[in-house]
Amino acid sequence: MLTIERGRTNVVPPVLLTVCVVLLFMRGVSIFYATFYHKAPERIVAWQQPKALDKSRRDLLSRPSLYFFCDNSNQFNSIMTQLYDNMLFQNREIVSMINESVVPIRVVLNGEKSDALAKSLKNSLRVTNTPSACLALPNGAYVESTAWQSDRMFVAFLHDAMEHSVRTAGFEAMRNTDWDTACKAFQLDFENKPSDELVDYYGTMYWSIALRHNHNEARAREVLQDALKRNTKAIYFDKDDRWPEPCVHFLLGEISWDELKKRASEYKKKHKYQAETAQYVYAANLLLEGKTEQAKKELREVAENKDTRYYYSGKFARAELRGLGETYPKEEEDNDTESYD
Amino acid sequence: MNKAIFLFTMKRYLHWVNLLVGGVALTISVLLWGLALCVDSAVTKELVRSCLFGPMVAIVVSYTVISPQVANSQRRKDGEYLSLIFSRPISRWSYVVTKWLTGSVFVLAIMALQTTLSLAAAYILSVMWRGHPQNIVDGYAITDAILNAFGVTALVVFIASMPQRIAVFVFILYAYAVLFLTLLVGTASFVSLSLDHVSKTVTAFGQMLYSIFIVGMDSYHVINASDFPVASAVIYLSNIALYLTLATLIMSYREFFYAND
Repeated sequence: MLTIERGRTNVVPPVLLTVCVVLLFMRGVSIFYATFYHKAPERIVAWQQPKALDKSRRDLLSRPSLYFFCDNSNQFNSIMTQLYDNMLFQNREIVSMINESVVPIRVVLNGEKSDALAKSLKNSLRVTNTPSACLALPNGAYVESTAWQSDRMFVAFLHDAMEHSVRTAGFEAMRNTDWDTACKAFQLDFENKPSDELVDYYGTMYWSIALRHNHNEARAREVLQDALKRNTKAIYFDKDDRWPEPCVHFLLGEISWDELKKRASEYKKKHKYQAETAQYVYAANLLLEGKTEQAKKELREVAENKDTRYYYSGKFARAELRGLGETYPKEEEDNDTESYD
Repeated sequence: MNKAIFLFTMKRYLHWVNLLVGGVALTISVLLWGLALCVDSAVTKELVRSCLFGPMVAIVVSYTVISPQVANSQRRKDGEYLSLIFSRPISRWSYVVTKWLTGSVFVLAIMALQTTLSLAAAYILSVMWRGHPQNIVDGYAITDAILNAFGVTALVVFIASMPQRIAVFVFILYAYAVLFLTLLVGTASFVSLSLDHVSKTVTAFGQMLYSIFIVGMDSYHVINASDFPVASAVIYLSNIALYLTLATLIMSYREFFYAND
């Protein structure tokens, strides 16, 4: 049998062996302690009980709600919920972000036996898997959701969702023809971004429309010009990414409606939404110029287009028409929480 | 630690084959990560972070330069013949520790170089797009890089001390697992620390076995956890000591087989 003699070059240092054995013992003890004696820390997120969504709320810029959906109907889901509770919601950075910036609401599902309120929230916020977290505006408008279990990704999700919530608040305010809130939200969204970053044309375009509704023509022109100036040097590898730049030129009066229509038809995705967005911008511009009858006709075309029902152009057109006294039922689109630019 | 082995190993890292293969791999990865850093998304940011500072770079680089299967072959004219080295009064322990420290330093140097070049590529690309490259270098990233370099290199020293056929098999198995966990953004760190808190649902024996294979540690978890995860820190230190001890033992018992290297 091979043996190692003391003092030879192939001897394992006793110190190393001792350290190794001690650390292995400590490993065993720490795992044993964690398994049988360690108590999970108390929940430090102040979760609230769920309530039915109040779609009539207009305070869209107040704290958004973070819905945490968990399901205890099977063992796997229970373990995953424990992971969220014991890791994600014990991370000090996540806890302070949740407690300071959102209203945390815990929705406990129980498979098919879930109560009506939990089911309704799950459907309204389009929850497909549990556990997952979803950020929504005070009126229940969906912002963003995640099912990621890594704490760093969860922090990233929260940052991202908080930023998007401001922009979504602007769009939701446009749907309510609440121009004041829309202007505030778009302004806030603009200020949140670094000054040398590309500007989102959609947000800017709708912001300028809201500003004009608020009789602030000069600022409306200024935000459009600023957006063009900031985005002008960007390189776009996909031509479609430039959309809706022509709409901005149109709102500035630099191109005609015919020219805008022609440019909208040049984009690959024109059949999906470009033509409708252009038409909505044209109609909104007519309305702001006081040509109400002509504007109504154009808005009706956008509002009644089935293909773009869930696009913001369609939703805004219906909102403007409702503001002009026409009846467009809101229920159907309210059940759908998703919207597209 | 043996100074001669340290310098010799460092010199071998700069062999033209290593430089050529490493240079090509570095160029491809730098362009890839540079491009990914220009995308304004948390997923790409965490993916790049996971790839640059996680265990993937450490395991590939350290195995390439440490293992006798790759670095000590007689096919290479500057081959590191263990039979010749151990005819000198150099202890196996000294050899193992030197290889571990040299490997860790080299891995850290590669990580630093790759990160610097990736950020430079990201800045150049973002100037073209007028965007903002994502910042991935912070205290946590640097700590993770150091912890992963030392932890994973200790594992590789252990793997490299095994007989060739077993070593290749174990390495490939590990490399696949690490690649899988790296691509599942953020999951590698989550797996390593779930031990403390989900322990009630897993048996202690299973954890004991499972923890033998955990080589990294995520400083972000440790610093931000509401109570300090003692088990993770102990497991990390214990694994390094265990791998180095096992590597020394295996090399000591295998001394009659070095002639066949």
